[in-house]
Amino acid sequence: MSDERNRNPGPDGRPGHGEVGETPGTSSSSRSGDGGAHGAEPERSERQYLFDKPRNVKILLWTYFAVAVALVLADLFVHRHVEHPWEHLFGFYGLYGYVGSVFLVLSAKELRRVLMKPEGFYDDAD
Amino acid sequence: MPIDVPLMPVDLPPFLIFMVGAALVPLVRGWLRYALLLAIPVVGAVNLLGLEVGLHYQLTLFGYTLTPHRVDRMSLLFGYIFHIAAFIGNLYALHLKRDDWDTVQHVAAVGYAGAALGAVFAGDLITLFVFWELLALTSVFLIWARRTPESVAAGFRYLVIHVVSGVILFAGALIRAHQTGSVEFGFIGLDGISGLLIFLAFGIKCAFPFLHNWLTDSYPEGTATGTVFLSAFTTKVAVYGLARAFPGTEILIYIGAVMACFPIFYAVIENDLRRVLGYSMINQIGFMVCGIGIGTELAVNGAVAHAFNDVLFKGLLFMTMGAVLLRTGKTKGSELGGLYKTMPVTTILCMVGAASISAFPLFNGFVSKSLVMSAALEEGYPTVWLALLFASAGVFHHAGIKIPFFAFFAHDSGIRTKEPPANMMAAMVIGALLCVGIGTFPQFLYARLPFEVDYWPYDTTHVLTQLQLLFWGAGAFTSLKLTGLYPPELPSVNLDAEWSYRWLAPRLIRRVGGAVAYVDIRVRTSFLNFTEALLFRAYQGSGPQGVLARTWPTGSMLLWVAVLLAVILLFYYAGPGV
Repeated sequence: MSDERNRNPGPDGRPGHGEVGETPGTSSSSRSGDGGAHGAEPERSERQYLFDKPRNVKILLWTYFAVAVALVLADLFVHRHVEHPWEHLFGFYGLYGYVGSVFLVLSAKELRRVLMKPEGFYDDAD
Repeated sequence: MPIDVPLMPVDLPPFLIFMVGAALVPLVRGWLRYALLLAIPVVGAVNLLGLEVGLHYQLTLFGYTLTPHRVDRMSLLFGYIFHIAAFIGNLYALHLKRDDWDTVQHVAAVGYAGAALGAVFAGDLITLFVFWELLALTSVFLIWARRTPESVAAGFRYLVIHVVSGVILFAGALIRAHQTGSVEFGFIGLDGISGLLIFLAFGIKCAFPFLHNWLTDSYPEGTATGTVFLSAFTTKVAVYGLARAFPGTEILIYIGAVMACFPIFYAVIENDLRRVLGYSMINQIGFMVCGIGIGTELAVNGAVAHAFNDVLFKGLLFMTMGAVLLRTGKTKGSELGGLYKTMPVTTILCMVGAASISAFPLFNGFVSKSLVMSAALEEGYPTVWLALLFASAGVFHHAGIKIPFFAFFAHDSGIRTKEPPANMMAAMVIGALLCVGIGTFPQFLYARLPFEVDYWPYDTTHVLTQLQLLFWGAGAFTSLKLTGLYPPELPSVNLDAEWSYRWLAPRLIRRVGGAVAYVDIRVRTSFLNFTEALLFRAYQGSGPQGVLARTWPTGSMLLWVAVLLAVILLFYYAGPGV
């Protein structure tokens, strides 16, 4: 399970983002390693967390890419019983998922031009 | 009056236990209150498991048969999940004991659960209407209890919309009673005005497109614990109502497809993560509505199973966001980030909820959503199927990735906090275990669906294709994020249908009111001027200085009298008699 989900944090843990040794804060204990199952790094005294290390982010991203590619290649070996003609296409689900999501995000981004208003927009109308 | 005596005297209508419980809650404090809050759903569940299928406690009112307690597979399924939700929710909110508002929240939450149970066990439209309104009247306190100006205003909007929905339902029920002579809450269909009215009433509570903003408006304004309850009951009662009264109504397929698709665009650009979950909720209800519209046994099974699962995973997601709200006081993506460092367990639980709503294999969303998807293909709705597939990729995007990512990872906000209290943690763990448990052993859920299930979601094709869809959907997120194309979280408000009543209507009213006031003041001023002029004239004539009102001296009066007498005498003597 964590294999699938943990790639989320990846991109933003890019170098430059996670300041090493930032404010000690009020954090309770050294439990940060719980965040992920693979590549878990034991914590240092200067409180460096799992995704503060660019290496861990890289491992995560590459694991993710490997799984994603493997899933599509599995199409070659698995005989799928399908109902819709498009489903026959090699890598249909992957392609549909990718294109659909890119379309979703980019069009939502464009929609901001029309829809986005400052916070408190409704306040003076109430 | 009862004409149907129940077999067992202990066979209580489920709502009764909750309503009595709600009345007892304010009477006790401390550990007794904790025990009571947890005991209510447990006692309810014991009663629920012993319920006899059938119609109970029927009575006649004005010639109509009321059935306040109807037990069948459909009502039982919603009964189970509402008891589970009430238990988890009460456990999650157990720590509240600061002031009277916290007591109000406890009472409102238990009463709210009772109202939801009353609605799903209602066998007639009048009973349904009563609980329909009670749902609104109890739940609104969970919004007001936040006690911010925004939550008070949002609570009022919520209340007005839901009361209106109830009034429409009541009107439909009365017309139907008049036309058919029965108030039975069975299949209704869209024929006639009564069917349309009831459909509209259900549609409002179900957050149909353009009627949906009460949800995204009010849920983010609820308290950290209150929104967990809100997400569990109201919309699910509406889904239950549609499944009962409108299965196979074709327009629902398209309404459902639209509901599944349009909110995800909003969810991508929304900043308040609890509002993102609100949009995501409409998206999930879309799958249910679509299944009800298809109307086959497989599809309706899928719809109600998905409602069941949605209570669990959406509740779990709202609980994790509630934990974030409690600990940081924020739920906005632009202000959060990096919380995995100090809330690792909450992070994992959030990801379990995210995996469930995204329908990863072995999580509960997978075993119910696939019923609807399969039904859409089998019944010959390939376009709808493609739309739902798009929505499935989309839900992973905004709920599966965005929620955990922007709250717990993303850029480090510098916030260092701690895990929520033990009771909240326990509630989230139970929710997560149920998500995984049902996802892994769906047969336990399938055995309780309204119709017999001849379906097994775990075959190679299905698992593989779903993983491909999700992994490559995630690839879109990763690549857009790495290339910097992903839209950042921005403090903002996104215009939606609510614009019509939160922006346009107040301005229209102000404009129209202004115009009316202007005309009014002109008309009245000119009338006043006219009467003033009239009065002035009259004053001139009959005022103190006027001719008519002048005081005449007595001498001149006598003179005139003498003159008159003289004239009379003159006529007298000059008359014909002389």
